[in-house]
Amino acid sequence: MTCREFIEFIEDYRSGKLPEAQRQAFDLHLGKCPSCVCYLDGYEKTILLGRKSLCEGDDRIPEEVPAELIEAILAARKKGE
Amino acid sequence: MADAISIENNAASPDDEGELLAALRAGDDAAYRSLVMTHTPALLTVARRILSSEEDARDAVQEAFVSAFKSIARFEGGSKLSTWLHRIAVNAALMKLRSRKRSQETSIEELLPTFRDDGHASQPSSRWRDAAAEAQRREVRDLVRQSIDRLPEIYRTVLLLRDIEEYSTEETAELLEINANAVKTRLHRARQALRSLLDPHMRETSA
Ligand SMILES: [Zn+2]
Repeated sequence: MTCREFIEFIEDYRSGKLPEAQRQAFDLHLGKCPSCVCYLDGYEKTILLGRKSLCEGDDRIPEEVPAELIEAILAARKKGE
Repeated sequence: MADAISIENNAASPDDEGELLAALRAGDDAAYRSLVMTHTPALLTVARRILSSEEDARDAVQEAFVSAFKSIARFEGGSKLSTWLHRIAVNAALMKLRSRKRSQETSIEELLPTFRDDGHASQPSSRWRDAAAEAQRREVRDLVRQSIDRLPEIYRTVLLLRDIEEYSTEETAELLEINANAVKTRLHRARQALRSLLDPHMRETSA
């Protein structure tokens, strides 16, 4: 297995979707390729960082509910009736 | 977000939802106000993630509610009201995104890993620092958000829908009107590109 193949199918490997024989080939590659170990580590951390930055603490998002938007939506309903 | 969360919790029980739905179908003004008050914060959050302009995000939420009001009679109650509204808002935001003129984007190819002829990585990867700890830092979260914004749109939307909004591959395919394989390919490329953008900042050896 090459790094190219490893990285191409990294998601199938992570999600446990690979048949046993292929999974073993991936494990074997990881056992002797520190670069792919780091690539996989960074790939998973990328997903985690995305979640943490956008879901749990999106600092861009103001806390209050915009009252004028709510009124505009309710007014749009009246207009649409 | 404390206000939004407490409102959300108050409205979550299925019995309440049935009553609310009946009131909505009867055209009860107070029920409409309660629905809009309850769900606007969450819908605005998802619209803002997809659209970079605040004005566009608010327009998308308004359009989503208007379209939800029209189809409230057809809402089956098979899913939660919040799930149903969330999907309508994502659709409205995506529609707005498609109608907008594309800005100049970084090409995804430049951000994908490269290999030597024998298939081995041309640049060995380095180990990253602890992600959970890094995510505690505001400047890291800013960097992650800015990096996601730099992804070409067709990749960014797949990453947002799959990894952030946690839609399935099939749901994402339906929302974006592409096939499931395209979702998988784009998600993988988006993550690889984002990994490349974050790499110089996340390497253990860098400051
Ligand atoms: Zn390798």
